[in-house]
Amino acid sequence: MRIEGGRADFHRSADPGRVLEMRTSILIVLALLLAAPLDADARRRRPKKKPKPRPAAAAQSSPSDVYDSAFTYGLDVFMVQGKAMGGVRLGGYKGSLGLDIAGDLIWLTEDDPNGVVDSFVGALVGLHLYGRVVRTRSAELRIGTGVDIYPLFGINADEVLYSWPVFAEARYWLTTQWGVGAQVRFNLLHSDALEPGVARDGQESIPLMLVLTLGGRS
Amino acid sequence: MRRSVFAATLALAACTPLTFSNTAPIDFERYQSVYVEGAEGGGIDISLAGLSPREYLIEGLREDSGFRRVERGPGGVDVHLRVSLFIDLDRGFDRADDEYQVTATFELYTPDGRVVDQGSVGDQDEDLYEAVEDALDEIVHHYLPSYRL
Repeated sequence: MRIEGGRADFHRSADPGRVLEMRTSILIVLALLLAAPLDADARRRRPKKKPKPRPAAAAQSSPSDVYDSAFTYGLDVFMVQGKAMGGVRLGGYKGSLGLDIAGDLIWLTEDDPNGVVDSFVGALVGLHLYGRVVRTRSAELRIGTGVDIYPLFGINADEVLYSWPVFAEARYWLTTQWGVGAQVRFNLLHSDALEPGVARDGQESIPLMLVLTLGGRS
Repeated sequence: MRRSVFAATLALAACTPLTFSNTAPIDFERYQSVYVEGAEGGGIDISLAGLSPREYLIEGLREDSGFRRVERGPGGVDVHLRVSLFIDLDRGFDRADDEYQVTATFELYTPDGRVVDQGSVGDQDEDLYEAVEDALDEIVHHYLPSYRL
């Protein structure tokens, strides 16, 4: 009787909420125990993912886009008629966005019939923002815009022309650090005195400028 | 396809002409020599690299303008260039904020008084000499020769 009574007491004194909590915990543990072997089987059956190449390993094997951000530098040559134009470019990129500042010098390769300048005409200073829209292991395509300033101090210190260029540049990385590029530049707006695509004799052609680059990054 | 388009664009852009041009405000074949008058500092003794404003302007015109001869005397020239300098001082809260406003008006006329060209240029600077120099440089820049380079 005492025992029965005791049992009766036990059942009466037990908190129903606590009992439910215990039952739930037990059920969860059982479910986990049952599920564990199933999950292990599933893992065994699941095809293995390809391990991602580590940057260092990729760099050793082949040129690739291992630099998500880099300081960049290069030499530019403008392919324009009657002038020698070239200089340096410095900048950097982070992810898909980059910024370059370029300084180029301009000489005439043909005589000036009016004798305004001997040979040296001036400079081109460019500030360009670009996006790396296509990036593969060994090549990338950039598009960008900015401002080009032409201080023609070979003519006069106050003779300055401006343009608003847009460009597309393809770059091929020969090694992880060094690459060659070709840029096609079009001027959306420019000073009247700047005539891209127009020869001295007034003959017009397509106003696209080609710039070849040897560039590095680190 | 994309490569072909890019290659075609490169081919089109290869060795494109690029010309710098200027059209002079006057016919320098007709007006080849000039006499510079005025360009005094309105009673202020201004020295620009050891030169008076007038001498500085003469040197600048000789160096860069389309005139073949720039003279100190009026004899035997095609045109006269009369330059007047006006100097204003904009006072700031303290002396370091003072700014000089220099306006240079110029008139190019033939010995018989016919005006060929005229204009006005100006510059503002904390330094008076710098402001005068820049205003005179603007006049030289105005008289650059025609070119197509």
